[in-house]
Amino acid sequence: MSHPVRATTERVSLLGPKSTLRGDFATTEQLVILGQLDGGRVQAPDITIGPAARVTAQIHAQTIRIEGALSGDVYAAVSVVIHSSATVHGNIHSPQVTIQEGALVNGEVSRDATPVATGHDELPNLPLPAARSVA
Amino acid sequence: MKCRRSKSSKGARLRNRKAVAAGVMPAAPPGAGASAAELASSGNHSAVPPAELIIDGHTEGSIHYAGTVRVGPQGTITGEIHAQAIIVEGAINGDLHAAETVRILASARVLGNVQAPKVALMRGAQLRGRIMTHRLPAAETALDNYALEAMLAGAHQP
Repeated sequence: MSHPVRATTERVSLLGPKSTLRGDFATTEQLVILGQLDGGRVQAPDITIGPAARVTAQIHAQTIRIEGALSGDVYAAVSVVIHSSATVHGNIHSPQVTIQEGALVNGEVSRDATPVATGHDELPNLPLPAARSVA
Repeated sequence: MKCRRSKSSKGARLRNRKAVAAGVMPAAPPGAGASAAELASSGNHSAVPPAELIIDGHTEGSIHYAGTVRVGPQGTITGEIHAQAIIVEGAINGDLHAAETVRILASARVLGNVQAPKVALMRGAQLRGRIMTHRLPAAETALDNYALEAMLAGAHQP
């Protein structure tokens, strides 16, 4: 993937490559992380973690694409794609998981996408739009 | 060089395609392969690496092999696999340890942990277990140090 932002998406939340965010983050738009995110919980319908991104958080989404470094558990209701450039340290909960050869993965893979109690219940439970089909 | 099987298998079809073709097991005609009874009759089997051990039946017990182990779509394995490379198309109930790569194809069902420097999990493959592509403490430290340094430096990374 040459550019992490897909043309099919109408609205995107972007954390730029020189940005750092600490804390929880939730959006109903597609989320593209190219910088550094150090938080407790990140929620969006569609999350892309770019190749240079560094994320330490628990991720909740429909579809997740990881090309950078992630430290934290992943809950994806639809699918997770881990690229060969990715480093993932955490458990992956999704009915559909794809790992490209070369990716560094340390964690447990399970098909159960239901999140466990996170301790971040104060975060508003945002309505998630229907999952987009993965091209 | 060795294929060591801790238990005998029932109804398993084991074929060593390249080894057979290279004439290592001349008793078996190429393509026909060796039956489980032949392979299970003695504990050790030799082959010339890089050979591919194809398992397309049901086997119980751990498998140690210096080459590539391929578990075919009809293969069901209960037990660990230790090999240079492992390709899974069938069902495995047990841990996978490979010195190089583990490829879990879309038709595969794996219940167990996977340990290898390179792991590929195809879309649609079922896996319940832990994936370890690198040593845990080193990776953790590297990632955390990087994150910490970047944070302290005000994230002036490219």
